[in-house]
Parts: sequence; C-alpha cells; structure tokens
Amino acid sequence: MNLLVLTFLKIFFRNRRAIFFVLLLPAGIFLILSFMRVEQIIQFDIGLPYTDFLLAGIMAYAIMQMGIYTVSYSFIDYRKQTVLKRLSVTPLSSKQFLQAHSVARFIVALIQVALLFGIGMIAFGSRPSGSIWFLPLVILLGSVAFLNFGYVISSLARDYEEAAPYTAIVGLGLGFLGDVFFPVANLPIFLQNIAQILPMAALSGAMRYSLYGIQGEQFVYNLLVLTGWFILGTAAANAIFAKRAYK
Amino acid sequence: MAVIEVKNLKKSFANVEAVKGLSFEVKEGEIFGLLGPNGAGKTTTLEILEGLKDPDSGEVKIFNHEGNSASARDKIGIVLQQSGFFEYLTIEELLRLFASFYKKTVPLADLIEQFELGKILHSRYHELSGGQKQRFVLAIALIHQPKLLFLDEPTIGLDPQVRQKFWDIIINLQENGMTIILTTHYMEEAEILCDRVAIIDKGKIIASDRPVKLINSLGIVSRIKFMSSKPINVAELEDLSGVLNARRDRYTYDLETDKPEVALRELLEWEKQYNGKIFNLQVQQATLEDVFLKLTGHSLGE
Repeated sequence: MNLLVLTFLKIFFRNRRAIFFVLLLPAGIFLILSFMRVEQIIQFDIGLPYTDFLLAGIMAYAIMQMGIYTVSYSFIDYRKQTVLKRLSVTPLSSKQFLQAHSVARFIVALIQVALLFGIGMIAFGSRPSGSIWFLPLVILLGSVAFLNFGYVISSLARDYEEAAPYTAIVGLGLGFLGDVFFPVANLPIFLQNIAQILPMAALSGAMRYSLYGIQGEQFVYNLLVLTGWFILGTAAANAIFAKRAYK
Repeated sequence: MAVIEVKNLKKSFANVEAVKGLSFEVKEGEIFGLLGPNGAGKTTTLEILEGLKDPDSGEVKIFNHEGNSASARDKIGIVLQQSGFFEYLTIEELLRLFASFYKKTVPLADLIEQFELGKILHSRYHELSGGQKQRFVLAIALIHQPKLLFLDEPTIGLDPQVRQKFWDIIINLQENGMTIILTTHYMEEAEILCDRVAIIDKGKIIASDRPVKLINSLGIVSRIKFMSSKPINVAELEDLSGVLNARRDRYTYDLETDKPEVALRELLEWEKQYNGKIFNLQVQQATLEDVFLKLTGHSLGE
C-alpha cells in the first residue's frame, strides 16, 4: 500500500503536464487575478484583503481542479491502456487502489496549498491568522471529495470526448458557485442556497477560517458539508469504479 | 487431479451468445489449449476463469474452489491478451510494485535473470520490443510463484524467432510443474505446446483431445498443395490413386491423402499428359488446421 502511494507520487511528479496544471497554473491564475485588482469591479466586503480572499479560494479551486480534471483523464488512460485490467487480476482490490491514489493526491494537495501560500506570503505579504491546525483536515476532506468526482466521471465516461462535457459542467458549476473569485453573497439567494450544499464553497470557507480566522460561524457547517461529500462520495466512487472501471 | 473444472458455461453480450455451454477440465501439470478463430469465445472463456467477467450461467471451479476466489488468486498467474502498465515507471519499479501485491514472491534477482530483464530494468514498458514486453509480462505473471498460468494469445504479433523462444520458456515452466491454460489461433503453437486442446468455434467446443489424436482421427496423413497455370477439373484430381479428397481455393489446389508417396507419383504422372504446368508443389503433414477445416467447413482465418 505504501509503495503504491509512493508510486502514484512518482507518476505525478514525472508528468510535466500534471505539474503544470496542478501546481503552476493555479499559481499563475492567482498572480494574474491579484495584479488585475478585481476587487475594484466586484462588491467585496468581508473584512479581508482581496488577495487573501482569493488565495484561499484559489487553493480550494486548485484542489477541485486536481480532483476533477487531471484524475478523470489519467484514469481514462489507465482504463483504455488496460492498466486497471492488469491490476484487477492481482490481489490489489479496487478500494485499495483508490485509497492509495487518494492518499498520494492528498499529499499533492498539501504541496499545492503550501506553494500557493508561499507565493501569497512573498508576493502579497499574506500572513496566517486563523486556526491553521485545521488545515490538513480541511485539505483531506476537500481533496478526497473532489477526487471522488474524478473517479466517478472517469468510470462513467467511455473516452475523453465523453468526459470533457462532464468535467466542464461539474468544474464550471462548482467554480462559479464556489466562493472562489468573488463572495457567493453577491449571487441571488437561490444560487447561494445551492452553493451552500456544494463542496466547493464549503472548502473555500473552511480554508479561509483555517488561514485567516474569518467566517468562523460557518466553519462547523462547512466541515459537515465536506464530511458528507467525503463519505457519500467515497462510497459512490468505490462502487462505481469497481463495477465500471476496475476490470 | 483437475485444477480447473468448467461445466456448461454460458455468456452473452447484448444479443450475441459468445459462449454457449462450454464444459472441460484442465489437469494438474498439463498445458491445455483453447483453440479457435478470432471471435470464437476463447478470450471470454478465459476472462471468466480469470475473474474478469461473470458468467451468465454454468460452474467454474479452480483448485476446487468456486470461481476465481481470493485464495485461488494467489495461485494464479495471468498474461492478458493486452497488458498495460503505468507509463512513467521503469521495469524495475513495476516489478517491485507488482511484487508488493503478494504475500510471497520469487526473489526479483532470480526473476530478472530467468527472463533476461537485466538490460531493460531502467527502461519503460512502452520502450520495449515485442519480445522484451512478452518476457516482462510473463515475469510479472510469475512473480508470486503461481501454480496455474493463464496465457491469452501470448505470442500474437511476435516474430517467429521470438515466438519459438517463448515456447521454450513455456515448456520449461511445465517441466517445473506448472499447469498452463492458453488460448491461441496459431495451430502450430497448439500442436507444439499443448498436451490437450479444445477446439472452439462460435462459442462451442467442437472437438477436444490430444492434438495428435485429433489429427489422426481425420484419416488423412498429409496434404499436397500446388498451383496451376490453367484451371483443373477437381474431379480429375479426386480420381488419382491415393487422393481422398481434392479442393480448389482460388489458385491453389489441395489434395488430402493417406498415401502421400502414391498420390504424389500419380499427380506427377498425370501432369505429363496435362497441357498446363503445376508449380509451388508442397507436401504437408496434416495439422490441427485440417481438423478445424474438416469439422467446421471453414478455415481459421475465415
């Protein structure tokens, strides 16, 4: 199991495209949006500099992107190249496979967050002032919740063409309602209600509390939402992946 | 003792019945071949035995356990028709990874030596030649010292020299006590490797026995094949002494015979009064291909 986790980390860090999309692209988006001074064109009043608001949001967005986009496509490759089929005839179960992959990607998510926060500290003087010890738990719940989306999409889609609309709809929807680039409080009430039960806004909010100590009254609720997605998503992903992909 | 017992196995996909009630046994220490053309149901049958597909009905026992149980899985090595591996890992890393899935494994150094993997340890799977890939795939299948080996079309796409080297490895494994079940559509491969074969066509076993016995059951010893510069009436060839049956396949004439020396002499005599010319004359021993042709009325490639 440990070797499989290490294997997934090796695979990730040897894949230049994965490094670009998972680590470098979110950092680039953060820098561009910070320099664009978006707070001047949107209503923004939550007692936090916009760069700090954005930084926590981009961290959540990067975790979502890693789970949904990169996992969906690499798992379709694994299936089409019969990597999964070959593994399925060993004693390694589909559950063990997903567990090891989730642990490896959780470690990547920790690196993502550390890298982004490092950039925020150096470029914009961002300083943690929240309950930072909650951060690993929040990242664990958030990363697995989004990885589960990737596992399910890659199991249901036959190929890249079929996966593309699924990832686009899920990714865009979650990004838009995710409290990432602007506060969801700016959205109509019915969209705010939808956002409240999705994992993206919960992750953004929980990240902000952990890093900067704001939105504390929402923190327990956000953790519950993430835990719900973690548990239900894991159960669904395990069942669908075993039935449709790992064979 | 039967290592594999299959009774009345059935499997359909959509409206296609791929396997129509197959029954057979594989005994300990033998090489058993499932032989047939593409689409005959060989791979589906093997994938059911490997636990990759569930049968619609029928019974499968491996090492006396129902289906491909977890306890049986430790004793089974599998070479799939097409195997994929993580593209960013080296051969050495893949060997270590697969070894980590099992409780007991062969020392990797022994495996590397046995399958001549030393020079490719730092290569990646997609960089290997066909022969190297096949040796690696076999090494992975044998990493946990299984007692039973499944080989699905193991030499497809390999050049003859590599194929023969692969046969040497398989025979050596059998000599060391391994039970092997393989699918192939190469009749020559089945004749050389298999102790017994089941010939499958359209999801059914149409014959099962030792290859020699199946060939002898035809009553023909050889076939004489040639081409002709002009069309020949096949009935004329059937009248030749020693010829049991004659047929024409486009430009090639094919005579079945139980007395090849008599039939050949007669043919050459007949040619003297024939105003055309025969060429590419070959005398061939009867093969499993002939058995298949006789039983189904079509060749393996059709």
